[in-house]
Amino acid sequence: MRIVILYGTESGNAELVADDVAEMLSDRFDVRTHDMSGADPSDLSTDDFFLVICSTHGDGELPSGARPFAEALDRDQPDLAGVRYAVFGLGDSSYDTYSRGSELIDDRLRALGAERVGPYGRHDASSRDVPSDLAKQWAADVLAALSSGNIAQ
Amino acid sequence: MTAPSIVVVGAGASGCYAAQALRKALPEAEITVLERLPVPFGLLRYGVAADHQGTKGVQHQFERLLASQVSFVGGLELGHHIDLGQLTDLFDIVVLATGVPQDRRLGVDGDTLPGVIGAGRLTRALNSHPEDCMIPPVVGQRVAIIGSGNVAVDILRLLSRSAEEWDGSDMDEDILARIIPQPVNEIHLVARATAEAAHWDAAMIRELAGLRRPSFRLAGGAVDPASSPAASALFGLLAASPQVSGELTVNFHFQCIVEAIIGKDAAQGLRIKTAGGERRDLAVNTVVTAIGFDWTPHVMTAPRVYTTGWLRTGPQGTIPHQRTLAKQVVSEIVTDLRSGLIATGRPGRRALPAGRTTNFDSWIRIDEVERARAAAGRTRRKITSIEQMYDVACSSRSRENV
Repeated sequence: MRIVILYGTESGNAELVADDVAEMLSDRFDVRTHDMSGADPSDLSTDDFFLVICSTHGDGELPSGARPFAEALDRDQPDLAGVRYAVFGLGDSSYDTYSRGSELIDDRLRALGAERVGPYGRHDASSRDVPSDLAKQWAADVLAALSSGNIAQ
Repeated sequence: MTAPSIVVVGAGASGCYAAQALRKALPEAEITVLERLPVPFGLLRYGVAADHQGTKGVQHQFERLLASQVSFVGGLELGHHIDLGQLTDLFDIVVLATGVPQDRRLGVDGDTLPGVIGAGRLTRALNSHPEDCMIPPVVGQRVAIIGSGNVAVDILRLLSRSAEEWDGSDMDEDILARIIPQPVNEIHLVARATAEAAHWDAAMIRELAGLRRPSFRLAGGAVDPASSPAASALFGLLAASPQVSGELTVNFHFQCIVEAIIGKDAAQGLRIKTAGGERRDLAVNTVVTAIGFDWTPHVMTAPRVYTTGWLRTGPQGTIPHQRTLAKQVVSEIVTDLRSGLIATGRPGRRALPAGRTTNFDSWIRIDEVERARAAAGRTRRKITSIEQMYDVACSSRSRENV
Protein backbone atom coordinates (compact mmCIF):
# COMPACT_ATOMS: atom_id res chain seq x y z
CA MET A 1 0.00 0.00 0.00
CA ARG A 2 1.36 3.35 -0.98
CA ILE A 3 0.67 6.54 0.95
CA VAL A 4 -0.09 9.56 -1.18
CA ILE A 5 -0.17 12.95 0.51
CA LEU A 6 -2.44 15.24 -1.45
CA TYR A 7 -2.03 18.88 -0.47
CA GLY A 8 -4.07 21.96 -1.31
CA THR A 9 -2.20 25.17 -0.62
CA GLU A 10 -2.47 28.90 -1.12
CA SER A 11 0.68 30.31 0.44
CA GLY A 12 2.77 27.16 0.75
CA ASN A 13 1.94 26.28 4.36
CA ALA A 14 0.07 23.09 3.49
CA GLU A 15 2.89 22.04 1.17
CA LEU A 16 5.42 22.47 3.95
CA VAL A 17 3.24 20.37 6.26
CA ALA A 18 2.89 17.73 3.53
CA ASP A 19 6.66 17.58 3.05
CA ASP A 20 7.20 17.21 6.79
CA VAL A 21 4.66 14.41 7.13
CA ALA A 22 6.20 12.68 4.09
CA GLU A 23 9.63 12.89 5.61
CA MET A 24 8.38 11.40 8.88
CA LEU A 25 6.79 8.45 7.08
CA SER A 26 9.41 7.88 4.42
CA ASP A 27 11.56 5.45 6.36
CA ARG A 28 8.64 3.10 6.94
CA PHE A 29 6.35 3.55 3.97
CA ASP A 30 6.36 4.17 0.25
CA VAL A 31 5.11 7.74 0.42
CA ARG A 32 4.87 10.55 -2.05
CA THR A 33 3.41 14.06 -2.04
CA HIS A 34 1.18 15.42 -4.76
CA ASP A 35 -0.02 18.98 -5.26
CA MET A 36 -3.80 19.07 -5.78
CA SER A 37 -3.30 21.73 -8.42
CA GLY A 38 -1.85 19.03 -10.65
CA ALA A 39 -3.91 16.11 -9.42
CA ASP A 40 -6.54 14.26 -11.41
CA PRO A 41 -9.43 12.27 -9.86
CA SER A 42 -8.25 9.27 -11.89
CA ASP A 43 -5.15 9.33 -9.63
CA LEU A 44 -7.38 8.25 -6.74
CA SER A 45 -6.67 4.53 -6.68
CA THR A 46 -7.95 1.96 -4.21
CA ASP A 47 -4.35 0.70 -3.86
CA ASP A 48 -3.23 3.91 -2.17
CA PHE A 49 -4.10 5.55 1.11
CA PHE A 50 -4.57 9.31 0.83
CA LEU A 51 -3.57 11.84 3.44
CA VAL A 52 -5.37 15.03 2.42
CA ILE A 53 -3.81 18.21 3.79
CA CYS A 54 -5.70 21.34 2.82
CA SER A 55 -5.75 24.95 3.93
CA THR A 56 -8.57 27.50 3.86
CA HIS A 57 -8.56 30.70 1.90
CA GLY A 58 -10.43 33.93 2.53
CA ASP A 59 -14.01 33.31 3.61
CA GLY A 60 -13.90 29.56 4.15
CA GLU A 61 -13.01 28.84 0.55
CA LEU A 62 -10.70 26.38 -1.11
CA PRO A 63 -7.12 27.50 -1.55
CA SER A 64 -6.24 28.15 -5.19
CA GLY A 65 -4.09 25.01 -5.26
CA ALA A 66 -7.11 22.83 -4.47
CA ARG A 67 -9.58 24.37 -6.85
CA PRO A 68 -8.63 22.48 -10.04
CA PHE A 69 -8.93 19.18 -8.17
CA ALA A 70 -12.33 20.08 -6.67
CA GLU A 71 -13.57 21.22 -10.07
CA ALA A 72 -12.37 17.98 -11.66
CA LEU A 73 -14.18 15.93 -9.00
CA ASP A 74 -17.38 17.90 -9.65
CA ARG A 75 -17.03 17.53 -13.40
CA ASP A 76 -15.95 13.87 -13.65
CA GLN A 77 -17.97 12.50 -10.69
CA PRO A 78 -15.67 9.43 -10.39
CA ASP A 79 -16.82 6.40 -8.42
CA LEU A 80 -14.55 6.44 -5.38
CA ALA A 81 -15.87 3.30 -3.67
CA GLY A 82 -12.93 1.58 -2.00
CA VAL A 83 -10.80 4.71 -1.86
CA ARG A 84 -9.70 5.50 1.70
CA TYR A 85 -8.40 8.85 2.96
CA ALA A 86 -7.86 11.03 6.01
CA VAL A 87 -8.07 14.84 6.31
CA PHE A 88 -5.96 17.49 8.01
CA GLY A 89 -7.29 21.04 7.66
CA LEU A 90 -5.43 24.30 8.18
CA GLY A 91 -7.44 27.33 9.15
CA ASP A 92 -7.77 30.33 11.43
CA SER A 93 -10.29 30.28 14.28
CA SER A 94 -10.66 34.06 14.11
CA TYR A 95 -12.87 33.31 11.09
CA ASP A 96 -16.34 31.73 11.54
CA THR A 97 -15.52 29.46 8.62
CA TYR A 98 -12.63 27.85 10.50
CA SER A 99 -10.79 25.29 8.36
CA ARG A 100 -13.73 25.05 6.00
CA GLY A 101 -11.41 24.69 2.99
CA SER A 102 -10.50 21.11 3.91
CA GLU A 103 -14.17 20.28 4.53
CA LEU A 104 -14.98 21.25 0.96
CA ILE A 105 -12.68 18.47 -0.23
CA ASP A 106 -13.86 16.02 2.45
CA ASP A 107 -17.51 16.60 1.46
CA ARG A 108 -16.77 15.86 -2.19
CA LEU A 109 -14.74 12.71 -1.56
CA ARG A 110 -17.38 11.26 0.75
CA ALA A 111 -20.20 12.12 -1.64
CA LEU A 112 -18.40 10.13 -4.33
CA GLY A 113 -18.15 7.04 -2.13
CA ALA A 114 -14.68 7.34 -0.61
CA GLU A 115 -14.21 6.38 3.04
CA ARG A 116 -12.60 8.70 5.58
CA VAL A 117 -10.42 6.97 8.16
CA GLY A 118 -9.14 8.18 11.50
CA PRO A 119 -9.35 11.56 13.24
CA TYR A 120 -9.98 14.82 11.36
CA GLY A 121 -6.89 16.89 12.08
CA ARG A 122 -6.99 20.68 12.38
CA HIS A 123 -4.44 23.42 12.84
CA ASP A 124 -5.45 26.89 14.01
CA ALA A 125 -3.25 29.72 12.72
CA SER A 126 -4.35 31.78 15.73
CA SER A 127 -2.78 29.25 18.09
CA ARG A 128 0.91 28.95 18.84
CA ASP A 129 1.01 25.37 17.63
CA VAL A 130 3.40 24.46 14.86
CA PRO A 131 1.32 23.03 11.99
CA SER A 132 3.74 20.25 11.12
CA ASP A 133 3.89 19.02 14.72
CA LEU A 134 0.12 18.62 14.84
CA ALA A 135 0.03 17.06 11.39
CA LYS A 136 2.70 14.49 12.22
CA GLN A 137 0.75 13.45 15.31
CA TRP A 138 -2.42 13.25 13.24
CA ALA A 139 -0.71 11.12 10.60
CA ALA A 140 0.50 8.72 13.29
CA ASP A 141 -3.03 8.51 14.76
CA VAL A 142 -4.52 7.94 11.33
CA LEU A 143 -2.15 5.10 10.52
CA ALA A 144 -2.85 3.54 13.90
CA ALA A 145 -6.58 3.71 13.15
CA LEU A 146 -5.98 2.24 9.71
CA SER A 147 -4.01 -0.70 11.01
CA SER A 148 -6.47 -1.47 13.78
CA GLY A 149 -9.35 -1.37 11.33
CA ASN A 150 -11.15 1.62 12.91
CA ILE A 151 -13.32 3.68 10.63
CA ALA A 152 -13.80 7.45 10.63
CA GLN A 153 -13.98 9.19 14.00
CA MET B 1 27.30 24.31 -17.67
CA THR B 2 28.32 24.94 -14.08
CA ALA B 3 25.53 25.54 -11.60
CA PRO B 4 24.55 29.22 -11.69
CA SER B 5 25.24 31.75 -8.96
CA ILE B 6 22.01 33.60 -8.17
CA VAL B 7 21.24 36.57 -5.94
CA VAL B 8 17.75 37.60 -4.85
CA VAL B 9 17.63 41.20 -3.65
CA GLY B 10 15.05 41.57 -0.89
CA ALA B 11 14.12 39.05 1.81
CA GLY B 12 10.43 39.86 2.01
CA ALA B 13 7.70 37.48 0.84
CA SER B 14 8.37 37.96 -2.86
CA GLY B 15 12.13 37.46 -2.50
CA CYS B 16 11.75 34.43 -0.25
CA TYR B 17 9.23 32.77 -2.54
CA ALA B 18 11.57 33.44 -5.47
CA ALA B 19 14.48 31.85 -3.58
CA GLN B 20 12.24 28.91 -2.65
CA ALA B 21 11.14 28.34 -6.24
CA LEU B 22 14.73 28.73 -7.47
CA ARG B 23 15.95 26.13 -4.98
CA LYS B 24 13.30 23.66 -6.11
CA ALA B 25 14.01 24.22 -9.79
CA LEU B 26 17.80 24.40 -9.51
CA PRO B 27 18.99 22.12 -6.69
CA GLU B 28 22.67 22.77 -7.51
CA ALA B 29 22.54 26.57 -7.84
CA GLU B 30 24.23 28.85 -5.32
CA ILE B 31 21.41 31.06 -4.07
CA THR B 32 21.92 34.13 -1.87
CA VAL B 33 19.15 36.37 -0.53
CA LEU B 34 20.34 39.93 0.15
CA GLU B 35 18.48 42.29 2.45
CA ARG B 36 19.29 45.86 3.34
CA LEU B 37 17.99 45.55 6.90
CA PRO B 38 19.83 43.26 9.34
CA VAL B 39 16.63 41.19 9.61
CA PRO B 40 14.68 39.40 6.88
CA PHE B 41 10.95 39.16 6.09
CA GLY B 42 10.08 42.61 4.82
CA LEU B 43 6.36 43.38 5.01
CA LEU B 44 5.65 40.10 6.80
CA ARG B 45 7.39 41.69 9.75
CA TYR B 46 6.73 45.37 9.08
CA GLY B 47 3.51 45.42 7.08
CA VAL B 48 1.19 42.65 8.30
CA ALA B 49 -0.56 44.05 11.38
CA ALA B 50 0.55 43.19 14.91
CA ASP B 51 -2.88 41.69 15.65
CA HIS B 52 -2.80 39.44 12.56
CA GLN B 53 -0.19 36.96 13.75
CA GLY B 54 -1.86 34.12 11.80
CA THR B 55 -1.04 35.86 8.52
CA LYS B 56 2.64 35.88 9.51
CA GLY B 57 2.57 32.06 9.53
CA VAL B 58 4.33 31.83 6.16
CA GLN B 59 7.44 32.99 8.00
CA HIS B 60 7.98 29.36 9.12
CA GLN B 61 8.53 28.29 5.54
CA PHE B 62 10.93 31.13 4.93
CA GLU B 63 12.87 30.40 8.10
CA ARG B 64 13.38 26.84 6.90
CA LEU B 65 14.49 28.14 3.55
CA LEU B 66 16.96 30.70 4.88
CA ALA B 67 18.24 28.35 7.57
CA SER B 68 19.44 25.56 5.36
CA GLN B 69 18.41 25.81 1.71
CA VAL B 70 19.76 29.18 0.61
CA SER B 71 22.07 31.80 2.17
CA PHE B 72 20.88 35.00 3.82
CA VAL B 73 23.01 38.14 3.93
CA GLY B 74 21.50 41.08 5.81
CA GLY B 75 22.79 44.64 6.07
CA LEU B 76 23.82 44.91 2.43
CA GLU B 77 21.95 47.51 0.40
CA LEU B 78 21.63 47.65 -3.36
CA GLY B 79 22.29 51.21 -4.43
CA HIS B 80 24.36 51.90 -1.34
CA HIS B 81 26.94 49.16 -0.66
CA ILE B 82 26.79 47.76 -4.17
CA ASP B 83 25.20 48.71 -7.47
CA LEU B 84 23.33 46.63 -10.00
CA GLY B 85 26.24 46.55 -12.44
CA GLN B 86 28.50 45.09 -9.76
CA LEU B 87 25.86 42.51 -8.82
CA THR B 88 25.55 41.35 -12.42
CA ASP B 89 29.33 41.03 -12.58
CA LEU B 90 29.38 38.85 -9.47
CA PHE B 91 26.27 36.73 -10.05
CA ASP B 92 25.03 34.89 -13.11
CA ILE B 93 21.43 35.79 -12.31
CA VAL B 94 19.96 38.70 -10.33
CA VAL B 95 16.36 38.73 -9.12
CA LEU B 96 15.12 42.05 -7.78
CA ALA B 97 12.39 41.78 -5.12
CA THR B 98 12.76 45.14 -3.44
CA GLY B 99 9.09 46.06 -3.26
CA VAL B 100 7.42 49.46 -3.48
CA PRO B 101 7.89 51.19 -0.14
CA GLN B 102 6.94 54.80 -0.86
CA ASP B 103 3.37 55.88 -0.05
CA ARG B 104 1.52 57.61 -2.89
CA ARG B 105 0.78 61.26 -2.26
CA LEU B 106 -2.82 62.49 -2.40
CA GLY B 107 -1.93 65.21 -4.87
CA VAL B 108 -4.10 67.91 -3.33
CA ASP B 109 -3.31 71.17 -1.52
CA GLY B 110 -2.03 70.56 1.97
CA ASP B 111 -0.99 66.95 1.34
CA THR B 112 2.46 67.49 2.86
CA LEU B 113 1.27 69.27 6.02
CA PRO B 114 2.32 67.78 9.36
CA GLY B 115 -0.46 65.44 10.39
CA VAL B 116 -0.74 63.86 6.93
CA ILE B 117 0.67 60.35 7.25
CA GLY B 118 1.07 57.65 4.62
CA ALA B 119 -0.43 54.31 5.67
CA GLY B 120 2.76 52.48 4.72
CA ARG B 121 4.78 54.67 7.03
CA LEU B 122 2.22 54.44 9.83
CA THR B 123 2.05 50.66 9.49
CA ARG B 124 5.84 50.36 9.63
CA ALA B 125 6.00 52.59 12.71
CA LEU B 126 3.23 50.61 14.44
CA ASN B 127 5.25 47.50 13.60
CA SER B 128 8.38 48.93 15.25
CA HIS B 129 10.39 49.51 12.07
CA PRO B 130 13.73 51.01 13.18
CA GLU B 131 13.69 53.75 10.57
CA ASP B 132 10.09 54.82 11.18
CA CYS B 133 10.38 54.63 14.97
CA MET B 134 13.20 57.15 15.22
CA ILE B 135 10.82 60.05 14.67
CA PRO B 136 7.47 58.26 14.78
CA PRO B 137 4.35 59.76 13.24
CA VAL B 138 1.88 61.05 15.84
CA VAL B 139 -1.83 60.37 15.47
CA GLY B 140 -4.30 62.88 16.92
CA GLN B 141 -7.73 62.27 18.36
CA ARG B 142 -9.71 63.11 15.22
CA VAL B 143 -8.53 61.12 12.24
CA ALA B 144 -9.45 60.78 8.58
CA ILE B 145 -8.42 57.60 6.75
CA ILE B 146 -8.52 57.84 2.99
CA GLY B 147 -8.90 54.62 1.04
CA SER B 148 -11.09 51.55 0.69
CA GLY B 149 -8.66 48.64 0.70
CA ASN B 150 -7.47 46.25 3.38
CA VAL B 151 -4.74 48.67 4.43
CA ALA B 152 -7.37 51.30 5.28
CA VAL B 153 -9.25 48.74 7.39
CA ASP B 154 -6.01 47.66 9.10
CA ILE B 155 -5.35 51.28 10.11
CA LEU B 156 -8.96 51.74 11.24
CA ARG B 157 -8.78 48.61 13.38
CA LEU B 158 -5.37 49.37 14.88
CA LEU B 159 -6.39 52.93 15.82
CA SER B 160 -9.59 51.60 17.42
CA ARG B 161 -8.17 48.91 19.69
CA SER B 162 -8.30 49.66 23.41
CA ALA B 163 -5.31 48.95 25.65
CA GLU B 164 -6.79 45.63 26.80
CA GLU B 165 -7.39 44.32 23.29
CA TRP B 166 -3.82 43.53 22.20
CA ASP B 167 -3.44 40.07 23.71
CA GLY B 168 -1.64 37.62 21.45
CA SER B 169 -0.24 40.40 19.27
CA ASP B 170 3.29 41.75 19.06
CA MET B 171 2.30 45.39 19.54
CA ASP B 172 4.90 47.35 21.53
CA GLU B 173 3.13 49.42 24.22
CA ASP B 174 5.78 52.14 24.30
CA ILE B 175 5.78 52.62 20.53
CA LEU B 176 1.98 52.63 20.50
CA ALA B 177 1.89 55.31 23.21
CA ARG B 178 4.27 57.50 21.22
CA ILE B 179 2.25 57.12 18.04
CA ILE B 180 -1.19 57.38 19.67
CA PRO B 181 -0.65 59.44 22.84
CA GLN B 182 -4.38 60.08 23.36
CA PRO B 183 -7.19 57.63 22.49
CA VAL B 184 -8.67 58.36 19.08
CA ASN B 185 -12.31 59.43 19.47
CA GLU B 186 -13.38 60.18 15.92
CA ILE B 187 -12.48 58.45 12.66
CA HIS B 188 -13.76 59.39 9.22
CA LEU B 189 -13.12 56.77 6.60
CA VAL B 190 -13.28 58.53 3.22
CA ALA B 191 -13.51 56.44 0.06
CA ARG B 192 -13.89 57.27 -3.59
CA ALA B 193 -15.56 53.90 -4.11
CA THR B 194 -19.17 53.00 -3.40
CA ALA B 195 -19.88 50.70 -0.45
CA GLU B 196 -20.56 47.97 -3.01
CA ALA B 197 -17.24 48.37 -4.81
CA ALA B 198 -14.99 48.96 -1.81
CA HIS B 199 -11.81 46.95 -2.24
CA TRP B 200 -11.55 45.57 1.28
CA ASP B 201 -12.27 41.93 2.07
CA ALA B 202 -15.62 41.26 3.73
CA ALA B 203 -13.81 39.33 6.48
CA MET B 204 -11.78 42.42 7.39
CA ILE B 205 -15.01 44.43 7.87
CA ARG B 206 -16.63 41.67 9.92
CA GLU B 207 -13.57 41.59 12.17
CA LEU B 208 -14.33 45.18 13.25
CA ALA B 209 -17.46 44.00 15.06
CA GLY B 210 -15.23 42.46 17.74
CA LEU B 211 -13.80 45.83 18.82
CA ARG B 212 -15.05 47.33 22.05
CA ARG B 213 -14.67 51.07 21.48
CA PRO B 214 -16.15 52.03 18.13
CA SER B 215 -19.70 52.68 16.98
CA PHE B 216 -20.09 52.75 13.22
CA ARG B 217 -22.08 55.29 11.22
CA LEU B 218 -22.82 55.88 7.60
CA ALA B 219 -22.39 59.52 6.60
CA GLY B 220 -25.06 59.68 3.93
CA GLY B 221 -26.18 57.23 1.28
CA ALA B 222 -27.30 53.68 1.78
CA VAL B 223 -25.66 50.28 1.82
CA ASP B 224 -27.39 47.45 -0.05
CA PRO B 225 -26.40 44.15 1.61
CA ALA B 226 -27.25 42.21 -1.53
CA SER B 227 -24.94 44.20 -3.78
CA SER B 228 -21.59 42.63 -2.84
CA PRO B 229 -19.92 40.64 -0.04
CA ALA B 230 -18.15 43.81 1.13
CA ALA B 231 -21.45 45.72 1.27
CA SER B 232 -23.11 42.82 3.07
CA ALA B 233 -20.37 42.81 5.70
CA LEU B 234 -20.64 46.57 6.16
CA PHE B 235 -24.41 46.37 6.45
CA GLY B 236 -24.03 43.79 9.21
CA LEU B 237 -21.49 45.96 11.01
CA LEU B 238 -23.75 49.03 10.86
CA ALA B 239 -26.81 47.05 11.90
CA ALA B 240 -25.10 45.65 14.99
CA SER B 241 -23.49 48.92 15.98
CA PRO B 242 -24.67 50.52 19.25
CA GLN B 243 -27.21 53.32 18.81
CA VAL B 244 -25.54 55.57 21.34
CA SER B 245 -22.05 56.65 20.32
CA GLY B 246 -19.46 55.81 22.90
CA GLU B 247 -15.78 56.56 23.08
CA LEU B 248 -15.09 56.35 19.36
CA THR B 249 -17.32 57.11 16.39
CA VAL B 250 -16.34 55.76 12.99
CA ASN B 251 -18.05 57.44 10.04
CA PHE B 252 -17.98 55.91 6.57
CA HIS B 253 -18.07 58.40 3.69
CA PHE B 254 -18.47 56.67 0.34
CA GLN B 255 -18.22 58.17 -3.14
CA CYS B 256 -16.33 61.16 -1.78
CA ILE B 257 -13.40 62.92 -3.37
CA VAL B 258 -10.72 64.64 -1.33
CA GLU B 259 -10.32 68.26 -2.43
CA ALA B 260 -7.81 69.64 0.05
CA ILE B 261 -6.28 69.38 3.46
CA ILE B 262 -6.92 72.56 5.37
CA GLY B 263 -4.44 74.03 7.79
CA LYS B 264 -1.60 76.48 8.04
CA ASP B 265 1.18 74.79 9.98
CA ALA B 266 -0.52 71.45 10.43
CA ALA B 267 -3.56 69.54 9.20
CA GLN B 268 -6.73 70.93 10.79
CA GLY B 269 -9.39 69.71 8.44
CA LEU B 270 -10.20 67.64 5.38
CA ARG B 271 -12.34 69.10 2.60
CA ILE B 272 -14.27 66.47 0.68
CA LYS B 273 -16.87 66.56 -2.07
CA THR B 274 -19.71 64.05 -2.00
CA ALA B 275 -21.31 62.29 -4.94
CA GLY B 276 -24.12 64.83 -4.82
CA GLY B 277 -21.65 67.68 -5.23
CA GLU B 278 -21.89 68.85 -1.62
CA ARG B 279 -18.73 70.07 0.06
CA ARG B 280 -17.99 68.86 3.56
CA ASP B 281 -15.23 69.97 5.89
CA LEU B 282 -14.22 67.32 8.40
CA ALA B 283 -12.49 68.68 11.47
CA VAL B 284 -9.58 66.27 11.78
CA ASN B 285 -5.99 66.76 12.85
CA THR B 286 -4.61 63.60 11.31
CA VAL B 287 -5.08 62.37 7.74
CA VAL B 288 -3.88 58.85 6.97
CA THR B 289 -3.64 58.12 3.27
CA ALA B 290 -4.17 54.47 2.39
CA ILE B 291 -4.21 55.00 -1.36
CA GLY B 292 -1.45 52.70 -2.48
CA PHE B 293 2.23 53.08 -3.14
CA ASP B 294 4.28 55.01 -5.67
CA TRP B 295 5.18 52.76 -8.58
CA THR B 296 5.83 53.28 -12.24
CA PRO B 297 5.99 50.33 -14.61
CA HIS B 298 9.55 49.71 -15.71
CA VAL B 299 10.51 47.11 -18.20
CA MET B 300 13.70 45.43 -17.04
CA THR B 301 15.94 45.23 -20.08
CA ALA B 302 19.24 44.42 -18.38
CA PRO B 303 20.24 40.88 -19.31
CA ARG B 304 20.27 38.29 -16.52
CA VAL B 305 18.24 40.64 -14.28
CA TYR B 306 14.68 39.64 -13.38
CA THR B 307 12.05 41.26 -11.18
CA THR B 308 9.36 39.81 -8.99
CA GLY B 309 6.83 40.99 -6.44
CA TRP B 310 5.39 44.47 -6.31
CA LEU B 311 8.48 45.85 -8.03
CA ARG B 312 7.36 43.91 -11.09
CA THR B 313 3.58 44.08 -10.89
CA GLY B 314 2.84 47.24 -8.96
CA PRO B 315 1.78 47.39 -5.31
CA GLN B 316 -1.13 44.98 -5.42
CA GLY B 317 -1.03 41.28 -4.81
CA THR B 318 -1.33 39.39 -1.56
CA ILE B 319 1.22 37.07 0.02
CA PRO B 320 -0.08 33.93 -1.76
CA HIS B 321 0.03 35.79 -5.05
CA GLN B 322 3.77 36.22 -4.60
CA ARG B 323 4.16 32.46 -4.51
CA THR B 324 2.46 32.03 -7.88
CA LEU B 325 4.38 34.94 -9.36
CA ALA B 326 7.70 33.55 -8.12
CA LYS B 327 7.05 30.23 -9.86
CA GLN B 328 6.32 32.08 -13.08
CA VAL B 329 9.47 34.20 -12.89
CA VAL B 330 11.60 31.16 -12.03
CA SER B 331 10.19 29.27 -14.97
CA GLU B 332 11.35 32.15 -17.20
CA ILE B 333 14.79 31.96 -15.61
CA VAL B 334 14.99 28.19 -16.13
CA THR B 335 13.94 28.58 -19.76
CA ASP B 336 16.65 31.20 -20.32
CA LEU B 337 19.25 28.97 -18.64
CA ARG B 338 18.27 25.94 -20.72
CA SER B 339 18.32 27.89 -23.94
CA GLY B 340 21.96 28.77 -23.30
CA LEU B 341 21.21 32.48 -23.05
CA ILE B 342 23.06 32.73 -19.76
CA ALA B 343 26.71 31.75 -19.40
CA THR B 344 27.38 30.64 -15.86
CA GLY B 345 30.50 30.61 -13.71
CA ARG B 346 30.50 34.03 -12.05
CA PRO B 347 31.89 33.93 -8.50
CA GLY B 348 28.70 34.66 -6.54
CA ARG B 349 28.45 35.17 -2.81
CA ARG B 350 32.15 34.89 -1.95
CA ALA B 351 32.86 37.95 -4.05
CA LEU B 352 30.41 40.23 -2.26
CA PRO B 353 32.06 43.29 -0.70
CA ALA B 354 33.20 42.88 2.89
CA GLY B 355 31.32 44.85 5.48
CA ARG B 356 29.11 44.58 8.53
CA THR B 357 26.49 42.03 7.58
CA THR B 358 24.21 39.54 9.28
CA ASN B 359 23.33 35.94 8.45
CA PHE B 360 20.52 33.60 9.44
CA ASP B 361 22.12 32.79 12.81
CA SER B 362 21.87 36.51 13.53
CA TRP B 363 18.14 36.30 12.94
CA ILE B 364 17.85 33.32 15.28
CA ARG B 365 19.52 35.34 18.05
CA ILE B 366 17.46 38.47 17.37
CA ASP B 367 14.29 36.36 17.30
CA GLU B 368 15.17 34.73 20.65
CA VAL B 369 15.84 38.10 22.26
CA GLU B 370 12.61 39.59 20.90
CA ARG B 371 10.52 36.70 22.17
CA ALA B 372 12.26 36.65 25.54
CA ARG B 373 11.67 40.35 26.14
CA ALA B 374 8.00 40.21 25.19
CA ALA B 375 5.63 41.87 27.63
CA ALA B 376 2.83 39.80 29.16
CA GLY B 377 0.26 38.87 26.51
CA ARG B 378 2.58 39.68 23.62
CA THR B 379 4.40 37.27 21.33
CA ARG B 380 7.54 39.38 21.06
CA ARG B 381 8.94 42.86 21.52
CA LYS B 382 10.82 43.90 18.42
CA ILE B 383 14.24 45.50 18.59
CA THR B 384 13.79 49.02 17.27
CA SER B 385 17.37 50.06 16.63
CA ILE B 386 19.60 48.87 13.82
CA GLU B 387 22.63 49.14 16.11
CA GLN B 388 21.00 46.98 18.72
CA MET B 389 20.18 44.39 16.06
CA TYR B 390 23.87 44.20 15.18
CA ASP B 391 24.82 44.02 18.86
CA VAL B 392 22.55 41.03 19.34
CA ALA B 393 23.66 39.45 16.05
CA CYS B 394 27.31 39.63 17.05
CA SER B 395 26.90 38.59 20.67
CA SER B 396 28.15 35.13 21.52
CA ARG B 397 25.53 32.53 22.15
CA SER B 398 24.50 31.99 25.77
CA ARG B 399 25.13 28.31 25.32
CA GLU B 400 28.33 27.70 23.41
CA ASN B 401 28.66 24.22 22.03
CA VAL B 402 32.00 22.83 23.17
